[in-house]
Amino acid sequence: MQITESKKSIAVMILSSPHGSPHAQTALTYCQAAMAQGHHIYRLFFYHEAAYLGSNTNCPPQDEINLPQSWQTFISDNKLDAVVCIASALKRGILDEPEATRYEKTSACLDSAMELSGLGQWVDAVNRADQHIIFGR
Amino acid sequence: MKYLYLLRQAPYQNSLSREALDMVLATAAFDQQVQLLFMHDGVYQLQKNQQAELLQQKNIEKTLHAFALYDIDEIYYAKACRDKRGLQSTQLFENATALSCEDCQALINNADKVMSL
Repeated sequence: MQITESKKSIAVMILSSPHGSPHAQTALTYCQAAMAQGHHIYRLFFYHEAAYLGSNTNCPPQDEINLPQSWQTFISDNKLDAVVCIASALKRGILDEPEATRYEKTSACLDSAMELSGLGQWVDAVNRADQHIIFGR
Repeated sequence: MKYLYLLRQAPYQNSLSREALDMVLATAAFDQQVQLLFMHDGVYQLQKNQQAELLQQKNIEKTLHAFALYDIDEIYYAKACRDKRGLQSTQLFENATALSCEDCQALINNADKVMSL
């Protein structure tokens, strides 16, 4: 595809759960297309229901897509900065090892492609990136 | 940076109205200038006498009153969205100002960052 615009850095927020709407898939397709055109994903920020995209314990039937895994693979393969909002994640049970220990829970399911952090990471990304986009619920 | 939040969600329908306000407060806490424009069903968030406890939820009205503590004093709503829903200005948060469609457009055009939620 012919690129005429200059390359941009983009901050991306995702609000949607894996199964509640098509938006989380649309956001992934958007990011893949943006990178294919040479743009830079400055940071991914998973907020609200999108915290469920951080889980690595989804086991869908074989003929269905595993959207959290698709996101995690995309992030790992491209070494992207991917943050799951810690407040969104904790209340939905998406814990990493330190948080599972802190709250005395037996399971930690946050994939290693992502990290838990606060909204300051999103404000920082919006301030520093050329543009931002929010994918709805 | 001047952040404009377009708050479009009805209160208590799902947690996005609540989590959007958390984003607003966090943005202000990180020393950014914050403006709020309630529109569409978001104008319902501005209603007085919300009884969130009946739904076992946190009261959004309390957050409206907390805005001042975060130096958020530019609180607007789209008058057309209010009128369409049969609401009067007296029924809404007193620190919120009604804007015409033209004024809403100007607000959006003048913001550095627009957050539509």
